[in-house]
Amino acid sequence: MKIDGGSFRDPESRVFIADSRVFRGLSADAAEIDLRVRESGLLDRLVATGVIIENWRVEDIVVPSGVPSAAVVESRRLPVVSYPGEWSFPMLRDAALLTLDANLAALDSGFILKDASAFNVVFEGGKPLIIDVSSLDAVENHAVWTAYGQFVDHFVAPLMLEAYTGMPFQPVLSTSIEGFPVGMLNQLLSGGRRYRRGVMTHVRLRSRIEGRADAMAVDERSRIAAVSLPVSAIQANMKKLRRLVMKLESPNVGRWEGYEASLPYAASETDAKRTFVEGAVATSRGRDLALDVGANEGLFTATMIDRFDHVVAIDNDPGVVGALYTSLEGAGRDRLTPLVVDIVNPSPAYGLRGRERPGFADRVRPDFSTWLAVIHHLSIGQGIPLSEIVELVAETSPEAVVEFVDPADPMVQQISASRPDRVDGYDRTVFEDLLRLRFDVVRAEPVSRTRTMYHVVRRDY
Amino acid sequence: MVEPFLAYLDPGAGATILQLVLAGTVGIGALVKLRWQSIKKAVGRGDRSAEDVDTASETAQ
Repeated sequence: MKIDGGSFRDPESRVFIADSRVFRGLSADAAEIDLRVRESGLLDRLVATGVIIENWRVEDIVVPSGVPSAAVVESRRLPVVSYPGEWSFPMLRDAALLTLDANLAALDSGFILKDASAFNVVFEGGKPLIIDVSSLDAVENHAVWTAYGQFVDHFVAPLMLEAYTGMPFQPVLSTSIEGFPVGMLNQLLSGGRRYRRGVMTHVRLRSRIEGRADAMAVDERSRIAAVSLPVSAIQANMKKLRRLVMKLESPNVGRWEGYEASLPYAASETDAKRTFVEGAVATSRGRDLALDVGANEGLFTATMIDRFDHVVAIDNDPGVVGALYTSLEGAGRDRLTPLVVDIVNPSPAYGLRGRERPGFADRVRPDFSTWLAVIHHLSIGQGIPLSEIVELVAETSPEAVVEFVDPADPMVQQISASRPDRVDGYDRTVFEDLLRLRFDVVRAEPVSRTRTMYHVVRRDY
Repeated sequence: MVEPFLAYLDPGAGATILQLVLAGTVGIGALVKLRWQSIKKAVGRGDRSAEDVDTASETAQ
Protein backbone atom coordinates (compact mmCIF):
# COMPACT_ATOMS: atom_id res chain seq x y z
CA MET A 1 0.00 0.00 0.00
CA LYS A 2 1.47 3.33 -1.05
CA ILE A 3 0.21 6.90 -0.67
CA ASP A 4 0.59 8.84 -3.92
CA GLY A 5 3.24 11.55 -3.66
CA GLY A 6 1.31 14.04 -5.75
CA SER A 7 -2.21 14.26 -4.38
CA PHE A 8 -1.68 16.17 -1.13
CA ARG A 9 -2.71 19.65 -2.23
CA ASP A 10 -6.41 19.09 -1.72
CA PRO A 11 -6.77 18.13 1.98
CA GLU A 12 -10.24 16.64 1.29
CA SER A 13 -8.88 13.64 -0.59
CA ARG A 14 -5.75 11.57 -1.09
CA VAL A 15 -4.79 8.92 -3.63
CA PHE A 16 -3.26 5.61 -2.58
CA ILE A 17 -2.28 2.49 -4.47
CA ALA A 18 -2.94 -1.02 -3.13
CA ASP A 19 -2.49 -4.26 -5.11
CA SER A 20 -1.97 -2.20 -8.28
CA ARG A 21 -5.42 -0.66 -7.79
CA VAL A 22 -5.94 3.11 -7.56
CA PHE A 23 -8.02 4.41 -4.64
CA ARG A 24 -8.96 7.83 -3.35
CA GLY A 25 -9.81 8.33 0.31
CA LEU A 26 -12.35 11.11 0.90
CA SER A 27 -13.07 13.35 3.90
CA ALA A 28 -16.63 13.50 5.29
CA ASP A 29 -17.34 16.74 3.36
CA ALA A 30 -15.88 15.34 0.15
CA ALA A 31 -17.81 12.08 0.62
CA GLU A 32 -21.07 14.01 0.90
CA ILE A 33 -20.36 15.99 -2.29
CA ASP A 34 -19.27 12.77 -4.03
CA LEU A 35 -22.59 11.15 -3.13
CA ARG A 36 -24.52 14.14 -4.49
CA VAL A 37 -22.48 14.05 -7.73
CA ARG A 38 -23.31 10.37 -8.16
CA GLU A 39 -27.00 10.72 -7.30
CA SER A 40 -27.43 13.68 -9.66
CA GLY A 41 -26.44 11.49 -12.61
CA LEU A 42 -23.67 13.96 -13.51
CA LEU A 43 -20.88 11.48 -12.87
CA ASP A 44 -22.47 8.85 -15.11
CA ARG A 45 -22.82 11.42 -17.87
CA LEU A 46 -19.19 12.57 -17.54
CA VAL A 47 -17.94 8.97 -17.59
CA ALA A 48 -20.17 7.97 -20.52
CA THR A 49 -18.95 10.93 -22.60
CA GLY A 50 -15.30 10.11 -21.91
CA VAL A 51 -14.67 13.26 -19.86
CA ILE A 52 -13.82 11.67 -16.52
CA ILE A 53 -12.27 8.31 -15.70
CA GLU A 54 -14.49 5.36 -14.68
CA ASN A 55 -14.73 5.29 -10.90
CA TRP A 56 -16.89 3.68 -8.24
CA ARG A 57 -17.38 3.59 -4.48
CA VAL A 58 -15.74 0.66 -2.67
CA GLU A 59 -16.35 -0.66 0.84
CA ASP A 60 -14.10 -2.67 3.16
CA ILE A 61 -10.85 -1.19 1.95
CA VAL A 62 -8.13 -0.58 4.52
CA VAL A 63 -7.11 3.07 4.23
CA PRO A 64 -3.50 3.98 5.07
CA SER A 65 -3.10 6.25 8.08
CA GLY A 66 -3.09 9.95 7.23
CA VAL A 67 -5.54 9.46 4.37
CA PRO A 68 -9.14 10.73 4.77
CA SER A 69 -11.38 7.70 5.15
CA ALA A 70 -15.04 8.75 5.26
CA ALA A 71 -15.45 7.06 1.87
CA VAL A 72 -13.22 5.38 -0.70
CA VAL A 73 -13.51 5.66 -4.47
CA GLU A 74 -11.64 3.37 -6.84
CA SER A 75 -10.62 4.50 -10.33
CA ARG A 76 -9.73 2.42 -13.34
CA ARG A 77 -5.95 2.29 -13.57
CA LEU A 78 -4.50 3.95 -16.66
CA PRO A 79 -1.66 2.28 -18.58
CA VAL A 80 0.53 5.39 -18.61
CA VAL A 81 0.62 8.62 -16.66
CA SER A 82 2.02 11.56 -18.60
CA TYR A 83 2.55 15.19 -17.61
CA PRO A 84 1.79 18.48 -19.41
CA GLY A 85 5.48 19.07 -20.22
CA GLU A 86 5.36 15.84 -22.26
CA TRP A 87 2.32 16.82 -24.31
CA SER A 88 2.31 18.43 -27.74
CA PHE A 89 0.38 21.61 -28.48
CA PRO A 90 -2.85 19.98 -29.70
CA MET A 91 -2.79 17.70 -26.64
CA LEU A 92 -2.56 20.58 -24.17
CA ARG A 93 -5.30 22.37 -26.10
CA ASP A 94 -7.57 19.30 -26.02
CA ALA A 95 -6.90 18.90 -22.29
CA ALA A 96 -7.89 22.57 -21.82
CA LEU A 97 -11.11 22.12 -23.79
CA LEU A 98 -11.91 18.97 -21.82
CA THR A 99 -11.47 20.86 -18.55
CA LEU A 100 -13.81 23.62 -19.75
CA ASP A 101 -16.38 21.13 -21.05
CA ALA A 102 -16.32 19.25 -17.74
CA ASN A 103 -16.99 22.55 -15.95
CA LEU A 104 -19.81 23.55 -18.28
CA ALA A 105 -21.47 20.15 -17.93
CA ALA A 106 -21.01 20.27 -14.15
CA LEU A 107 -22.52 23.77 -13.88
CA ASP A 108 -25.68 22.52 -15.62
CA SER A 109 -26.11 20.12 -12.67
CA GLY A 110 -25.14 22.53 -9.90
CA PHE A 111 -21.47 21.55 -9.63
CA ILE A 112 -18.10 22.99 -10.68
CA LEU A 113 -14.49 21.78 -10.66
CA LYS A 114 -12.77 23.29 -7.64
CA ASP A 115 -9.37 23.22 -9.32
CA ALA A 116 -8.09 23.23 -12.91
CA SER A 117 -4.62 21.73 -12.70
CA ALA A 118 -3.32 20.25 -15.94
CA PHE A 119 -2.05 17.35 -13.81
CA ASN A 120 -5.70 16.36 -13.31
CA VAL A 121 -5.75 15.31 -16.96
CA VAL A 122 -4.04 12.18 -18.29
CA PHE A 123 -3.92 10.91 -21.87
CA GLU A 124 -5.02 7.39 -22.71
CA GLY A 125 -4.01 6.98 -26.34
CA GLY A 126 -5.26 10.03 -28.16
CA LYS A 127 -7.93 10.81 -25.57
CA PRO A 128 -7.58 13.08 -22.55
CA LEU A 129 -9.38 12.05 -19.34
CA ILE A 130 -9.89 13.84 -16.04
CA ILE A 131 -8.56 11.58 -13.29
CA ASP A 132 -9.34 13.69 -10.21
CA VAL A 133 -12.86 12.61 -9.36
CA SER A 134 -12.84 14.68 -6.17
CA SER A 135 -12.38 17.93 -8.12
CA LEU A 136 -16.16 18.10 -8.54
CA ASP A 137 -17.63 20.41 -5.93
CA ALA A 138 -21.01 21.99 -5.24
CA VAL A 139 -21.26 25.32 -7.04
CA GLU A 140 -22.65 27.02 -3.92
CA ASN A 141 -19.21 26.63 -2.37
CA HIS A 142 -17.83 28.95 -5.06
CA ALA A 143 -18.68 32.63 -5.27
CA VAL A 144 -16.65 33.00 -8.46
CA TRP A 145 -14.81 30.52 -10.70
CA THR A 146 -12.21 29.68 -8.07
CA ALA A 147 -9.95 27.84 -10.50
CA TYR A 148 -9.94 30.53 -13.22
CA GLY A 149 -6.42 31.75 -12.43
CA GLN A 150 -5.08 28.20 -12.25
CA PHE A 151 -6.77 27.30 -15.53
CA VAL A 152 -5.11 30.20 -17.33
CA ASP A 153 -1.67 29.48 -15.81
CA HIS A 154 -1.83 25.75 -16.53
CA PHE A 155 -3.39 25.81 -19.99
CA VAL A 156 -3.97 29.18 -21.65
CA ALA A 157 -0.62 30.81 -20.84
CA PRO A 158 1.59 27.98 -22.20
CA LEU A 159 -0.65 27.69 -25.29
CA MET A 160 -0.38 31.46 -25.85
CA LEU A 161 3.38 31.28 -25.38
CA GLU A 162 3.72 28.87 -28.30
CA ALA A 163 0.93 30.36 -30.43
CA TYR A 164 2.12 33.95 -30.09
CA THR A 165 5.92 33.63 -29.85
CA GLY A 166 6.59 30.30 -31.59
CA MET A 167 8.53 29.05 -28.57
CA PRO A 168 7.50 25.46 -27.69
CA PHE A 169 6.01 25.32 -24.17
CA GLN A 170 7.47 21.91 -23.21
CA PRO A 171 10.77 23.23 -21.76
CA VAL A 172 8.77 25.71 -19.65
CA LEU A 173 6.34 23.08 -18.31
CA SER A 174 8.77 20.17 -17.98
CA THR A 175 9.51 20.81 -14.29
CA SER A 176 6.70 23.22 -13.43
CA ILE A 177 4.02 22.39 -10.88
CA GLU A 178 1.92 25.51 -11.46
CA GLY A 179 2.01 25.90 -15.23
CA PHE A 180 3.35 29.11 -16.72
CA PRO A 181 2.31 32.05 -14.52
CA VAL A 182 0.80 34.86 -16.62
CA GLY A 183 3.16 37.37 -14.98
CA MET A 184 6.06 35.65 -16.76
CA LEU A 185 4.19 35.40 -20.05
CA ASN A 186 3.44 39.11 -19.77
CA GLN A 187 7.18 39.83 -19.87
CA LEU A 188 7.45 38.06 -23.22
CA LEU A 189 4.40 39.46 -24.98
CA SER A 190 5.57 42.96 -25.82
CA GLY A 191 5.07 45.08 -28.93
CA GLY A 192 2.42 43.89 -31.34
CA ARG A 193 2.00 40.62 -29.45
CA ARG A 194 0.12 42.39 -26.68
CA TYR A 195 -2.73 42.93 -29.14
CA ARG A 196 -3.14 39.25 -29.92
CA ARG A 197 -6.43 37.65 -28.88
CA GLY A 198 -6.90 37.40 -25.12
CA VAL A 199 -3.57 38.96 -24.16
CA MET A 200 -4.89 42.35 -23.00
CA THR A 201 -7.28 40.80 -20.47
CA HIS A 202 -6.03 37.37 -19.39
CA VAL A 203 -2.35 38.30 -19.43
CA ARG A 204 -1.70 42.03 -19.17
CA LEU A 205 -4.62 43.18 -17.06
CA ARG A 206 -4.38 40.22 -14.71
CA SER A 207 -0.62 40.59 -14.27
CA ARG A 208 -1.12 44.26 -13.53
CA ILE A 209 -3.89 43.70 -10.99
CA GLU A 210 -1.97 40.88 -9.33
CA GLY A 211 1.14 43.02 -9.08
CA ARG A 212 -0.92 45.63 -7.22
CA ALA A 213 -2.86 43.05 -5.21
CA ASP A 214 0.32 42.07 -3.38
CA ALA A 215 0.32 45.50 -1.77
CA MET A 216 -3.39 45.42 -0.81
CA ALA A 217 -4.42 45.78 2.80
CA VAL A 218 -6.16 42.89 4.54
CA ASP A 219 -9.61 44.55 4.51
CA GLU A 220 -9.41 45.15 0.78
CA ARG A 221 -8.52 41.53 0.20
CA SER A 222 -11.45 40.33 2.28
CA ARG A 223 -13.81 42.63 0.37
CA ILE A 224 -12.60 41.12 -2.90
CA ALA A 225 -12.84 37.59 -1.49
CA ALA A 226 -16.51 38.28 -0.64
CA VAL A 227 -17.40 39.21 -4.22
CA SER A 228 -19.70 36.81 -6.04
CA LEU A 229 -20.83 36.26 -9.61
CA PRO A 230 -24.04 34.59 -10.79
CA VAL A 231 -23.57 31.12 -12.28
CA SER A 232 -24.69 32.44 -15.67
CA ALA A 233 -21.78 34.91 -15.67
CA ILE A 234 -19.32 32.15 -14.75
CA GLN A 235 -20.69 30.04 -17.62
CA ALA A 236 -20.39 32.97 -20.01
CA ASN A 237 -16.75 33.53 -18.99
CA MET A 238 -15.98 29.85 -19.54
CA LYS A 239 -17.60 29.87 -22.96
CA LYS A 240 -15.63 32.97 -23.97
CA LEU A 241 -12.43 31.32 -22.81
CA ARG A 242 -13.37 28.19 -24.75
CA ARG A 243 -13.66 30.19 -27.96
CA LEU A 244 -10.24 31.73 -27.27
CA VAL A 245 -8.59 28.34 -26.63
CA MET A 246 -10.16 26.90 -29.82
CA LYS A 247 -8.50 29.60 -31.89
CA LEU A 248 -4.97 29.12 -30.53
CA GLU A 249 -2.77 27.40 -33.12
CA SER A 250 0.88 26.41 -32.97
CA PRO A 251 3.19 27.57 -35.74
CA ASN A 252 5.25 24.41 -35.10
CA VAL A 253 2.78 21.58 -35.70
CA GLY A 254 2.74 20.17 -39.20
CA ARG A 255 6.24 21.36 -40.06
CA TRP A 256 7.46 17.74 -40.31
CA GLU A 257 4.49 16.35 -42.14
CA GLY A 258 5.71 14.29 -45.07
CA TYR A 259 9.24 14.19 -43.63
CA GLU A 260 9.46 10.43 -43.65
CA ALA A 261 8.09 10.21 -47.18
CA SER A 262 10.79 12.64 -48.31
CA LEU A 263 13.67 10.50 -47.01
CA PRO A 264 15.70 8.59 -49.59
CA TYR A 265 14.60 5.13 -48.50
CA ALA A 266 13.61 2.49 -50.98
CA ALA A 267 10.14 1.02 -50.43
CA SER A 268 11.72 -2.45 -50.28
CA GLU A 269 13.90 -1.33 -47.36
CA THR A 270 10.92 0.07 -45.46
CA ASP A 271 9.02 -3.16 -46.09
CA ALA A 272 11.93 -5.33 -44.91
CA LYS A 273 12.22 -3.19 -41.79
CA ARG A 274 8.51 -3.48 -41.07
CA THR A 275 8.57 -7.25 -41.60
CA PHE A 276 11.47 -7.56 -39.15
CA VAL A 277 9.72 -5.46 -36.48
CA GLU A 278 6.48 -7.40 -36.98
CA GLY A 279 8.35 -10.69 -36.52
CA ALA A 280 9.94 -9.53 -33.26
CA VAL A 281 6.68 -8.06 -31.97
CA ALA A 282 4.77 -11.28 -32.72
CA THR A 283 7.04 -13.25 -30.38
CA SER A 284 7.50 -10.66 -27.62
CA ARG A 285 7.48 -12.08 -24.08
CA GLY A 286 5.69 -9.17 -22.46
CA ARG A 287 2.42 -7.86 -23.82
CA ASP A 288 1.57 -4.91 -21.58
CA LEU A 289 3.50 -1.86 -22.71
CA ALA A 290 5.70 -1.07 -25.71
CA LEU A 291 7.77 2.05 -26.33
CA ASP A 292 8.80 3.44 -29.72
CA VAL A 293 11.88 5.63 -29.24
CA GLY A 294 12.27 8.35 -31.87
CA ALA A 295 8.89 7.44 -33.32
CA ASN A 296 8.67 10.39 -35.72
CA GLU A 297 5.37 10.08 -37.56
CA GLY A 298 4.83 6.61 -36.13
CA LEU A 299 5.58 4.72 -39.34
CA PHE A 300 6.55 1.59 -37.38
CA THR A 301 4.62 2.25 -34.18
CA ALA A 302 1.43 0.87 -35.67
CA THR A 303 2.96 -2.64 -35.90
CA MET A 304 2.83 -2.86 -32.09
CA ILE A 305 -0.74 -1.73 -31.42
CA ASP A 306 -2.36 -5.14 -31.87
CA ARG A 307 0.18 -6.99 -29.74
CA PHE A 308 0.46 -4.73 -26.70
CA ASP A 309 -2.18 -3.37 -24.37
CA HIS A 310 -0.65 0.06 -24.79
CA VAL A 311 2.06 1.73 -26.86
CA VAL A 312 3.91 4.94 -26.07
CA ALA A 313 5.59 6.74 -28.98
CA ILE A 314 8.17 9.34 -28.01
CA ASP A 315 10.04 11.91 -30.04
CA ASN A 316 11.89 15.02 -28.96
CA ASP A 317 10.26 17.12 -31.67
CA PRO A 318 6.96 18.59 -30.42
CA GLY A 319 5.76 19.25 -33.98
CA VAL A 320 6.16 15.60 -34.98
CA VAL A 321 4.40 14.42 -31.83
CA GLY A 322 1.57 16.88 -32.48
CA ALA A 323 1.17 15.59 -36.04
CA LEU A 324 1.14 11.97 -34.83
CA TYR A 325 -1.44 12.83 -32.15
CA THR A 326 -3.81 14.51 -34.58
CA SER A 327 -3.48 11.64 -37.07
CA LEU A 328 -4.46 8.94 -34.53
CA GLU A 329 -7.53 6.90 -35.38
CA GLY A 330 -9.10 3.53 -34.61
CA ALA A 331 -7.13 1.30 -32.23
CA GLY A 332 -4.27 3.82 -32.23
CA ARG A 333 -6.55 6.47 -30.78
CA ASP A 334 -7.44 4.08 -27.94
CA ARG A 335 -4.02 2.63 -27.20
CA LEU A 336 -1.19 4.74 -28.65
CA THR A 337 -0.02 7.70 -26.57
CA PRO A 338 2.45 10.01 -28.35
CA LEU A 339 4.64 12.07 -26.01
CA VAL A 340 7.32 14.73 -26.34
CA VAL A 341 10.26 13.08 -24.59
CA ASP A 342 13.96 13.18 -25.37
CA ILE A 343 15.27 9.71 -24.51
CA VAL A 344 18.70 11.09 -23.60
CA ASN A 345 17.14 13.76 -21.34
CA PRO A 346 13.85 12.30 -20.06
CA SER A 347 11.55 14.27 -17.74
CA PRO A 348 13.04 14.23 -14.25
CA ALA A 349 11.22 13.77 -10.93
CA TYR A 350 10.07 17.12 -9.53
CA GLY A 351 7.77 18.88 -7.10
CA LEU A 352 7.78 18.47 -3.32
CA ARG A 353 10.81 16.54 -2.11
CA GLY A 354 11.39 15.57 -5.73
CA ARG A 355 8.61 13.00 -5.37
CA GLU A 356 5.42 14.81 -6.24
CA ARG A 357 5.89 14.05 -9.96
CA PRO A 358 8.02 10.97 -10.74
CA GLY A 359 10.40 10.98 -13.68
CA PHE A 360 9.54 9.48 -17.07
CA ALA A 361 11.58 6.31 -16.51
CA ASP A 362 9.66 5.58 -13.28
CA ARG A 363 6.26 6.11 -14.90
CA VAL A 364 6.83 4.33 -18.19
CA ARG A 365 8.30 0.84 -17.81
CA PRO A 366 7.91 -0.91 -21.17
CA ASP A 367 8.23 -4.65 -21.80
CA PHE A 368 9.48 -3.97 -25.29
CA SER A 369 11.05 -1.03 -27.12
CA THR A 370 12.08 -0.12 -30.67
CA TRP A 371 15.08 2.04 -31.60
CA LEU A 372 14.81 2.58 -35.34
CA ALA A 373 17.16 5.06 -37.01
CA VAL A 374 18.06 6.37 -33.56
CA ILE A 375 21.49 4.97 -32.61
CA HIS A 376 23.52 7.04 -35.11
CA HIS A 377 21.80 10.24 -33.95
CA LEU A 378 22.80 9.51 -30.36
CA SER A 379 26.30 8.32 -31.18
CA ILE A 380 27.48 10.68 -33.91
CA GLY A 381 24.95 13.46 -33.51
CA GLN A 382 25.25 13.77 -29.74
CA GLY A 383 28.58 12.12 -28.98
CA ILE A 384 27.19 9.42 -26.67
CA PRO A 385 29.47 6.34 -26.52
CA LEU A 386 27.98 3.14 -27.99
CA SER A 387 28.48 1.40 -24.62
CA GLU A 388 26.26 4.02 -22.93
CA ILE A 389 23.65 3.64 -25.67
CA VAL A 390 23.50 -0.15 -25.19
CA GLU A 391 23.16 0.42 -21.42
CA LEU A 392 20.32 2.87 -22.09
CA VAL A 393 18.49 0.29 -24.24
CA ALA A 394 18.99 -2.38 -21.54
CA GLU A 395 17.67 -0.08 -18.80
CA THR A 396 14.67 0.98 -20.86
CA SER A 397 13.23 -2.47 -21.54
CA PRO A 398 14.17 -6.17 -21.30
CA GLU A 399 13.40 -6.79 -24.97
CA ALA A 400 14.05 -4.53 -27.95
CA VAL A 401 14.46 -4.07 -31.67
CA VAL A 402 17.49 -1.95 -32.55
CA GLU A 403 18.59 -0.68 -35.94
CA PHE A 404 22.26 0.01 -36.64
CA VAL A 405 23.10 2.22 -39.59
CA ASP A 406 26.62 1.91 -41.02
CA PRO A 407 28.93 4.92 -41.40
CA ALA A 408 28.64 4.56 -45.20
CA ASP A 409 24.90 5.26 -45.16
CA PRO A 410 23.97 8.64 -46.71
CA MET A 411 21.98 9.66 -43.59
CA VAL A 412 24.97 8.95 -41.34
CA GLN A 413 27.31 10.75 -43.71
CA GLN A 414 25.08 13.79 -43.52
CA ILE A 415 25.34 13.85 -39.72
CA SER A 416 29.02 12.96 -39.60
CA ALA A 417 30.08 15.58 -42.16
CA SER A 418 30.43 18.15 -39.39
CA ARG A 419 31.74 15.66 -36.80
CA PRO A 420 34.15 13.34 -38.62
CA ASP A 421 35.95 12.69 -35.30
CA ARG A 422 32.91 10.86 -33.93
CA VAL A 423 32.87 8.22 -36.68
CA ASP A 424 36.02 6.53 -35.31
CA GLY A 425 34.44 4.31 -32.65
CA TYR A 426 31.18 4.02 -34.57
CA ASP A 427 31.35 0.51 -35.97
CA ARG A 428 28.86 -2.30 -36.43
CA THR A 429 31.06 -5.10 -35.02
CA VAL A 430 31.88 -2.97 -31.95
CA PHE A 431 28.16 -2.34 -31.48
CA GLU A 432 27.34 -6.03 -31.86
CA ASP A 433 29.95 -7.02 -29.27
CA LEU A 434 28.53 -4.49 -26.83
CA LEU A 435 24.98 -5.73 -27.48
CA ARG A 436 26.00 -9.32 -26.73
CA LEU A 437 27.42 -8.31 -23.35
CA ARG A 438 23.92 -7.36 -22.12
CA PHE A 439 21.58 -9.17 -24.51
CA ASP A 440 20.95 -12.41 -26.33
CA VAL A 441 20.57 -11.60 -30.00
CA VAL A 442 17.46 -13.50 -31.05
CA ARG A 443 17.77 -12.45 -34.64
CA ALA A 444 19.96 -10.12 -36.72
CA GLU A 445 19.23 -9.25 -40.33
CA PRO A 446 20.39 -6.67 -42.86
CA VAL A 447 17.50 -4.71 -44.37
CA SER A 448 19.69 -2.85 -46.84
CA ARG A 449 23.35 -2.54 -47.79
CA THR A 450 24.01 -0.21 -44.83
CA ARG A 451 21.32 -1.07 -42.28
CA THR A 452 21.07 -4.00 -39.87
CA MET A 453 18.23 -4.89 -37.52
CA TYR A 454 18.64 -6.70 -34.19
CA HIS A 455 15.98 -8.34 -32.04
CA VAL A 456 17.51 -8.60 -28.57
CA VAL A 457 16.44 -9.98 -25.19
CA ARG A 458 18.24 -8.92 -22.02
CA ARG A 459 20.27 -11.76 -20.48
CA ASP A 460 18.56 -11.45 -17.09
CA TYR A 461 15.02 -11.47 -18.55
CA MET B 1 -24.30 36.36 -0.47
CA VAL B 2 -22.40 33.12 -0.22
CA GLU B 3 -21.08 32.46 3.24
CA PRO B 4 -17.31 32.45 3.67
CA PHE B 5 -15.83 29.20 2.51
CA LEU B 6 -12.25 28.04 2.75
CA ALA B 7 -11.31 26.42 -0.53
CA TYR B 8 -7.85 24.91 -0.70
CA LEU B 9 -7.30 26.88 -3.88
CA ASP B 10 -7.21 30.66 -3.42
CA PRO B 11 -8.98 32.29 -6.37
CA GLY B 12 -6.65 35.28 -5.96
CA ALA B 13 -7.60 38.94 -5.81
CA GLY B 14 -6.34 39.65 -9.32
CA ALA B 15 -8.12 36.70 -10.91
CA THR B 16 -11.35 37.59 -9.06
CA ILE B 17 -11.36 41.22 -10.20
CA LEU B 18 -10.55 40.11 -13.72
CA GLN B 19 -13.55 37.76 -13.76
CA LEU B 20 -15.76 40.71 -12.86
CA VAL B 21 -14.27 42.74 -15.70
CA LEU B 22 -14.79 39.85 -18.16
CA ALA B 23 -18.36 39.34 -16.98
CA GLY B 24 -19.28 42.75 -18.43
CA THR B 25 -22.48 44.35 -17.19
CA VAL B 26 -23.08 41.70 -14.53
CA GLY B 27 -19.60 42.16 -13.17
CA ILE B 28 -19.82 45.93 -13.10
CA GLY B 29 -22.40 45.78 -10.31
CA ALA B 30 -20.03 43.71 -8.20
CA LEU B 31 -17.12 45.95 -9.11
CA VAL B 32 -19.05 49.00 -7.92
CA LYS B 33 -19.74 47.22 -4.64
CA LEU B 34 -16.03 47.09 -4.01
CA ARG B 35 -14.88 50.40 -2.67
CA TRP B 36 -13.85 52.60 -5.56
CA GLN B 37 -10.53 53.26 -3.90
CA SER B 38 -9.65 49.55 -4.02
CA ILE B 39 -10.25 49.42 -7.72
CA LYS B 40 -8.28 52.56 -8.34
CA LYS B 41 -5.44 51.16 -6.36
CA ALA B 42 -5.66 47.76 -7.98
CA VAL B 43 -5.29 49.07 -11.50
CA GLY B 44 -2.64 51.51 -10.36
CA ARG B 45 -4.34 54.84 -10.98
CA GLY B 46 -3.88 57.75 -8.60
CA ASP B 47 -1.11 58.40 -6.14
CA ARG B 48 -0.37 54.90 -4.96
CA SER B 49 2.54 55.62 -2.64
CA ALA B 50 0.46 58.09 -0.62
CA GLU B 51 -2.36 55.52 -0.29
CA ASP B 52 0.07 52.88 0.86
CA VAL B 53 1.30 55.15 3.62
CA ASP B 54 -2.31 55.87 4.67
CA THR B 55 -3.19 52.18 4.72
CA ALA B 56 -0.09 51.34 6.70
CA SER B 57 -0.85 53.93 9.36
CA GLU B 58 -4.50 52.79 9.57
CA THR B 59 -3.38 49.22 10.08
CA ALA B 60 -0.92 50.32 12.73
CA GLN B 61 -3.72 51.93 14.72
